[in-house]
Amino acid sequence: MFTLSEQPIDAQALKAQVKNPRSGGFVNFEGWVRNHNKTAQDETAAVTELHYEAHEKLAQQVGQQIIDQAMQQFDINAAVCCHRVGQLQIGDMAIWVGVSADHRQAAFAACEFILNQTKAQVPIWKKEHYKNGDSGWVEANL
Amino acid sequence: MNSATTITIELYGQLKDTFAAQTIEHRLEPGVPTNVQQLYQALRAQQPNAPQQQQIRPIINDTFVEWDAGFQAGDVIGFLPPASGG
Repeated sequence: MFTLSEQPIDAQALKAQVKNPRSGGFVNFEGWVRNHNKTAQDETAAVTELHYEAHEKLAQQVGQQIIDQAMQQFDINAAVCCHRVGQLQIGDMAIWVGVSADHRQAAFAACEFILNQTKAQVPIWKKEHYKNGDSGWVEANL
Repeated sequence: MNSATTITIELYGQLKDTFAAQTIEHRLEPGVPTNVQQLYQALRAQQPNAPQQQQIRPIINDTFVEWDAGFQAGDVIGFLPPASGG
């Protein structure tokens, strides 16, 4: 299942959705808001908070297609992805991906696939707010 | 404006800042056929620093469409810049 959340992500609740008696392994990725831009070297450009916005209907649709594709493409038993929207502070969880499978290889591969496809395809946009008062939309970090 | 002669353009992400607007009401010229590509190029003519067409995905009424898709009065046209979630 793919979901958007305006509230802090409840990782334990999401993990419960991925539990499956067939599964011998669980792989999880959490993306957190970091305090610096990936390219800026200037301390005044330190990131203070992020804002994520989405086209909600299409984000849900495209995100679910990615989950469905992962379920078909990899030998896994369950997959869940949740992406935050709204204003996030440093350290907040922005995305949670979890996959369970009979064996670890498929779980690792599917988790990375879902993360990469979500970043590339799901209509969600990230705006950074900087210590110096500026802000800017972030290009995809694929 | 009367929705019988207008469309609504929705802008997302960086496009909102580029055009300093989340939505734009656009009056249709009677008898002049147009498609989403022509519409986006008309917008870019106003703001040349807007992303090039190949970076944008167009939608009509919350559905992805091809660039040659036409539209009619009352439709909501959206332009989605490259995703940057995660």
